[in-house]
Amino acid sequence: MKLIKQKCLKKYGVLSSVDPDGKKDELKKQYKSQYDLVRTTRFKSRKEEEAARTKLANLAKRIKGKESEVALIRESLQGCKTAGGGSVLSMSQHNSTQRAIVPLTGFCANLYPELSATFNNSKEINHNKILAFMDNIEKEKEGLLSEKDVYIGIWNDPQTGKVRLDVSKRFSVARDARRACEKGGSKTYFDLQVFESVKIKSK
Amino acid sequence: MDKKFIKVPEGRFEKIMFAAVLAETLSGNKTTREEIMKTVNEENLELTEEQIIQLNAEFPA
Repeated sequence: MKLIKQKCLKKYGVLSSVDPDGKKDELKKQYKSQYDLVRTTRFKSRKEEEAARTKLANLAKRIKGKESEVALIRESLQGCKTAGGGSVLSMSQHNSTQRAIVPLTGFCANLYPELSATFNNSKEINHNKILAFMDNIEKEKEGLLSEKDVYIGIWNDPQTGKVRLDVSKRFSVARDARRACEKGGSKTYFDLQVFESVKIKSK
Repeated sequence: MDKKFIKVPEGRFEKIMFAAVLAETLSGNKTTREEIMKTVNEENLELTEEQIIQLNAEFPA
């Protein structure tokens, strides 16, 4: 088992998720059950919903063994090329400047909506505009992009075709993501387990 | 609604390369080595041999 993990680590930069004890299978069952609960339940209160979403995130973390990983930029953004599309991550190529850290579990909240950038059409985007977006964040909030769990959020709106970039922070707990939204003035946070935006409820 | 999150790398050269890959992926428009070199030159960055090799490998002329 140790040898398999070492080989995976050396070859792909990640640890194998093989678990001979069968504990992963049990966790996956729990995850599926909790996933269904989150997707189908009309929660009576915000507290109940946040607890359910956080439990799902904790299960996801236990299954994946980590909260983020290094992935190929191109492949991790496949879904953003087409409005509203999905994506699959791959670890099959090796190019350091083409790889970046992506969050796997938890909740992402847009910390500073005023630092977001919107492009009316994806064709408008070039490397200078993305650099300008990052430089503006650095100018306004020095060191923010280097902070742990702070990411660029990329959203391709299927209704308008607009592409929006923002600065988002990952949280392990749904309540914390919601509180960050309330503080920053965002109306939603993103649930990485169910891949959906969660509207901030009043209570 | 699908949203993606990605960490910005450290280092100016890495940020430029990151922006180039991101722009190419989102827009579908090719970013050329010349465009990247123009930015590098405008910022008076001196690339290491390794960085030049990376640039040539990832954005061939």
